Amino acid sequence: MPKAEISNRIRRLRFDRGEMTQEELANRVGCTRQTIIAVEAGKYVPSLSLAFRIAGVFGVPVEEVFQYKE
Amino acid sequence: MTPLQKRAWLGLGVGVGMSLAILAVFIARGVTSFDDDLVLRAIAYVLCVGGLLVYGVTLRIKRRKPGRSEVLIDERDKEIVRKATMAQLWAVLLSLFIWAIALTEVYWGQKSIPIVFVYLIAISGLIVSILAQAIGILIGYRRMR
Repeated sequence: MPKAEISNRIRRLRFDRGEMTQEELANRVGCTRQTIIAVEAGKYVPSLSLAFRIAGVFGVPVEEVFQYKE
Repeated sequence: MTPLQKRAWLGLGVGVGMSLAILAVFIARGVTSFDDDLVLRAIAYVLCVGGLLVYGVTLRIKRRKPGRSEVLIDERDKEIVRKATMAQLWAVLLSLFIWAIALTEVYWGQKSIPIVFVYLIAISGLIVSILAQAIGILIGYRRMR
């Protein structure tokens, strides 16, 4: 099975929303700031539930936040 | 640093501290005197039970900065703990097998093992368990940073 990579645009989306801080995003989605840092850096792939919550905060579909590359 | 990471460092400290304290006690009073030396046995018991209690208390600590409502443990922390627990299980099993093989080979001729080793196995199992979980958590965070 080829290794899949999931990239994300969280940094960009935070910037577009008036430089929302990682801490603010973490508090709004219910995770730690360190998890947001890890997700942004591509070191941790969030669960579907967390991915949807993040997309919900930005008000965009989940595929606009996360992209799947094979 | 997440609360779980802080707890892991504390666990590492407790494990290393317990190991050094027990090692120092056995070196100071002599392993061979374990059967006759009630003080040595009492110190070993106190260190083991004390270390276990301190570790147990650290598991319950939930510090929160005043005025903040942030999440303390999330799905990534739980995933790291799950993997660290597997590492802990394997480390304890490995330590038990090492003890079993070493004692069997050394005392094969005598067909019996000194009773002190029962305590040493229990103590080492406890220390390995605490250290393996703490190290597993810290490695997990390093990989997912």
